[in-house]
Amino acid sequence: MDFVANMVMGFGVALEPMNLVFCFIGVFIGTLIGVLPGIGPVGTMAILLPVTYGISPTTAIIMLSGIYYGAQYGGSTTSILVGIPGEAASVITTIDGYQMALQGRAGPALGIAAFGSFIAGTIGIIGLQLLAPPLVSVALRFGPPEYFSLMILGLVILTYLAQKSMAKALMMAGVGIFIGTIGLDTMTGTPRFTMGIPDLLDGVGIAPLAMGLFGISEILLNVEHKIKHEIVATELKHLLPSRKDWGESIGPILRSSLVGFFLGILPGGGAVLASFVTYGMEKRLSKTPEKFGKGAIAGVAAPESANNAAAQGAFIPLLTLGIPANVVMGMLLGALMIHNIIPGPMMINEHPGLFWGVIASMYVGNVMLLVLNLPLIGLWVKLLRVPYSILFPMILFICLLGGYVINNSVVDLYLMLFFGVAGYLMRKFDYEPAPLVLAYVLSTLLESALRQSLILSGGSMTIFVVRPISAGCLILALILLVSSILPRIRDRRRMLVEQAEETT
Amino acid sequence: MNADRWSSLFWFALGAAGIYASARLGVGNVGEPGSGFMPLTACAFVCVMALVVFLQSFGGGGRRLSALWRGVYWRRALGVGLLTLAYVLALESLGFFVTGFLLLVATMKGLEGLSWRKTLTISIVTLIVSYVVFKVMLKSTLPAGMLGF
Amino acid sequence: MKPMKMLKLVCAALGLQLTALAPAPAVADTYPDKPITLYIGYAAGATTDLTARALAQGAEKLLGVAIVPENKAGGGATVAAGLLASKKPDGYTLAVLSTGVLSVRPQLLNLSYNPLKDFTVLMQYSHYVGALVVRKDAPWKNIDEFVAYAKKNPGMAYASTGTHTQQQIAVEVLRQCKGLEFKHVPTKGGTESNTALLGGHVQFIAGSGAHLPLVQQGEFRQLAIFHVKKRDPLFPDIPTLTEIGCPDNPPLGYVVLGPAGMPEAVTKKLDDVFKKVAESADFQALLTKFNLPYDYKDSKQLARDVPAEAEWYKNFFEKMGIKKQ
Repeated sequence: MDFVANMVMGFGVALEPMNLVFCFIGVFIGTLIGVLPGIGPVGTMAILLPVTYGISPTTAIIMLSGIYYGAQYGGSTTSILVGIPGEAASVITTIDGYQMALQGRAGPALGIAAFGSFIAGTIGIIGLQLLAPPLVSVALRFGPPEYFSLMILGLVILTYLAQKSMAKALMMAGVGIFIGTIGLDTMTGTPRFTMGIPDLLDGVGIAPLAMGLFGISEILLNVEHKIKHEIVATELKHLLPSRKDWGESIGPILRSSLVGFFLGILPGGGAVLASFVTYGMEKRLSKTPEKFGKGAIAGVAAPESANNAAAQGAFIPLLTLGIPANVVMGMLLGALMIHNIIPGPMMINEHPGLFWGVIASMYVGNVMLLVLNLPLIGLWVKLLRVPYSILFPMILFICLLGGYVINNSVVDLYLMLFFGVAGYLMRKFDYEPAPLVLAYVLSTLLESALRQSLILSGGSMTIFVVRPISAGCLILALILLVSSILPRIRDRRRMLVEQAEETT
Repeated sequence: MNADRWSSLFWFALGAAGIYASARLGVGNVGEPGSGFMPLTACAFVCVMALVVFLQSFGGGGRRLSALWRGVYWRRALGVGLLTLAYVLALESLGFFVTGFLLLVATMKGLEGLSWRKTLTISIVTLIVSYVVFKVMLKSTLPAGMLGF
Repeated sequence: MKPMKMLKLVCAALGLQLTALAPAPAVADTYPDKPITLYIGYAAGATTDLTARALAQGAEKLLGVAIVPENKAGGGATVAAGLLASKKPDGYTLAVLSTGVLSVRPQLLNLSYNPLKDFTVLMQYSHYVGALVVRKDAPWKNIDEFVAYAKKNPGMAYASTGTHTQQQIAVEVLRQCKGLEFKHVPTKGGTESNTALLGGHVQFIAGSGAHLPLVQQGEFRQLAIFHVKKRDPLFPDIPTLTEIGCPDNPPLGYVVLGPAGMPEAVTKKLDDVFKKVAESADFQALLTKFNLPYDYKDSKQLARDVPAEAEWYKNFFEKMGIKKQ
C-alpha cells in the first residue's frame, strides 16, 4: 500500500473532532497521572475502560494510548521538581534533573525534557511506521539467552551511573537484585523471604520501592535543614533551555531516541532499561562526564527522550503481532478485544483506518503534549517558590495517597515507609539508591532468563555464547566493563607512582 | 569511628544473613539453579563489596559517625517518620479524610509551626482537590474508615 | 463530606445495627439497602477483573444499590481471599476469585484462611481454559502424531504460565499418562509464553487462554483441549485429553463468594440476581469476546464440586511429592 496514501487516510481519521477530543482527554489524564507519584497508566486505563464501550474502537485506542505516552511526559515533572520519580522510567531523570532544579534551572530541565520527549516521540512514530514488520522478527529472535545477556549488559551499564564510590554503587546493585527475588518464585512455586505476608508474594513493587527510596527519604533529609529551598528558588534563571543547553542536548536526544525505540520493541525490555542505558551511553560519550550527576542537561535529555521513544516502540509488537510488549500494551490488547478487534498480522489489512489513524493521532498527541507542558513549566517553577514547610506535607500526603491507590493496600505504604527510612539512612552514609532500584528492575528478568535458558540447554552454560545475539551482548558488556574499570586502575597506579616519586 | 567502617560492617552482616537464608531455600548448582541461587549470589556480591568499602575506609578522609547527625534537625525527621507511621497504621480504620487531615495538620502546625489559618486552609484545600482528582476523575477507591467516609 | 449526607449515613448505620438485632428474616427483607463491596482478586484490566466489573454493573441495576469493585490483587488472589474471610457475612462484602484459591493454593502454601470452611461460594460463571498449542508450521497435524513424536524425542521444551498452574498440571498429567519427557519452561504469563512459541524458543505451550487470539489469526494451532470432558463447541475437531485416555485436572472456575455463614435469604437473592446477569445478552457477549466459555454453577453444585476439586489437587500433589511451603 502506498505510504503517503496511508498517512493521509490516517490523518483524516486522527483529525476527526471526536478523535481530537478523546486524544486530548487521554494525554491530559496521562500527564496528570504521570505527575502524580504512584498511580500509573495501567490502573487508570483499566478504570477508564468502560468509558470506551460507547465509542468507536479507534477513538478508544487513541484515548488509551494518549494516557500511556502522556504519562511518560508527566513522570519527568516530579522527578525534576522534587526528586521523586513519577514512575520507574523517570528514576534516572531525578539524578541530574533534580540537581538542575536545586541550581535554579528547573525551567530548562523541564523544557528540555518536554522537547526531548516530543522529538523522541516523533522519531519513534516514524520508526513505527516504517520499520514495524522487520523489527518484530528481530525482536522475536530474543529468547531467554538473549535476554540474559542483555540484562548483564544492563548491569554493566549500571556501573557507569556511580557518582562517588563504585564499590558502594555495586553493593547497592547487589541489594537491588536481592530485593527483586523477594516474592513467589514462579519457577518452583516457593515463596522467598516473604515472612508469611501474603501481599509480599508478588514481590516488593517498584512504586513503594522508588517512592520510598527517593521520595520519602528526600523529605526526611530535607526537613533536617531549616532553610533549603527558599534560597534556591530565588535564583531563577531563564525558563527555557538556552542555546548552549540545546547544543549539549541535541546529540543525546537523537541518539537516545534511537536506542530507546529499539529497546522498547523488545517484549519485557522497555522504558526503564532504555532510560539508564542511554544515560550511561551519553555519560560515556560526553566530553564532560564529570558533570553528569551534578546537573548536566544531557543527563535529563537522554533518559527522557529514551523513555518516550521506548513508549512508541512498545506499540510495534502489539499492532503487528498482537503481542503486548509490556503491561500497558496488555491493557490495550484487552481493550481491542472488547471492541472485537483481534490485533495481529491481519489487523493492518482488516482495519487500516484504526491502524493508521492511531499512528497519526500519536503525532497529534505529541504536539498536544508539547503545547500542554510548555506553559505549565512556568506554573511548576512558581510552585517551587512555595516554602518547603507547606510543600513537603502536601508532597508526603500525595505520595502516600498515590502509593495506596495502586493496589488499595496499606502493606505498600508500610513498604514505602520502610524504604523511605532505609533510603534516608543510606543517603546519609553516601550510598546511592539509583543503582538499587535499577538493579531491582533487572533482577526478575535476569533470573528468569538465566533459569529458562538453562532449562532449554539442559544445564549447559554454553548456550549463552553459542547464540549470536547473546554472545554479542556479552562481548559488548565485557568491553564496557573493562573500559570503565581500566581508567580507574590506571589512575590509581599513576597516583601510587607519583607518591613513590615524591618520596625519592 | 569512621562512618564507612560501620556501614560496611552493617551491610556485610546483612549480606551474610541473606546468604544463610538463601542457602536454606536450596541453591542447586550452576547447571540447574534453585530458588536460592540468585539471592545467594547477590548477597555474596554484597559481602565482597562491603569488604572493599571496609578496606577503603582505612584510606583516610572519611566522616565520623556522629558527624552525620551533628548540626541537623534530626528530631524533625524523626517526627515526620513517626507521623507517617501513625498515618499508615490508622488509614484503614479512620479513613482517608480523617487521617489525611490529621497528618497535614500535624506536620504543618505541629512540626513546622505554621499559623492555624494557613494550616487549615491548605489542609482542607489539599484534601478536597485530591479527593476530586483521585476519586472522581480517576475513580480510584479511597479507604473509608469506620465512620463511613 | 456534606453534613446532611453524613447524618444520613450515620442514621443508616445505626438503623442497620438495630435491624441486625432483629431475627434473621428481617435482614433479608431489607437487603440490600447500602452499597456492596466487591473485592476482585486480580489487577485492574485482567480478564477476571473485566468480567467481574461487568457482573457488578449488571447486578447493580437489579439490586438497586451500588456494587463497588475494589481490586485487591496479590498472591494469586489469596490476599483478597484472606480479607474476605475476615468480613461479616451480611452480604455486603463479596469477592470474585478463581476457585484455585480454594482448591489449589491451600495445598501449596500456608494461608490465613480455611478454604473449605471460611467461605460461602455463591455462583460460578465461567471457567479457565487450557490447550496444548503449537505453531502453525509445526510438523504434527494432530495430538496422536505429537505424542508419537514426543515418545521418540524426549526433552521437548514447552512454556507455561507458571509452575502448578492449571494448564501446566494438565501437561504434567499428559506426561505421566503417556510416559513422556518434557522440559518445562515457566514464564510469567500468557504473553511471555506466546512470544516464546512465536520465536521458536519452545516447541509447544500450555496455553491458558491468551493463545486464542493467535489461534484465530492462524498463527497457532491447538492440538488438544484440556480440562473438559466434552469437546469444545467452538473447536469440534480438537480432542480432549480425556478422549485420548488421560483424564486431566478439573478447570478452575470464576466464582463469586462471600464469607461463611451468610443468611440463606441473602444468598438466595444474590444467587438469583447474579444468575440473571450472567444469562443476559450483554454479559454473554462479553464472555464470547474474551473467548471464555459460559459455565454456570449454582451454590449447591459448587458445594459439591469445590471440595471434589480440592481433593483432586490434594491427591495429585501428594502423588507428585509436592509439599506445603
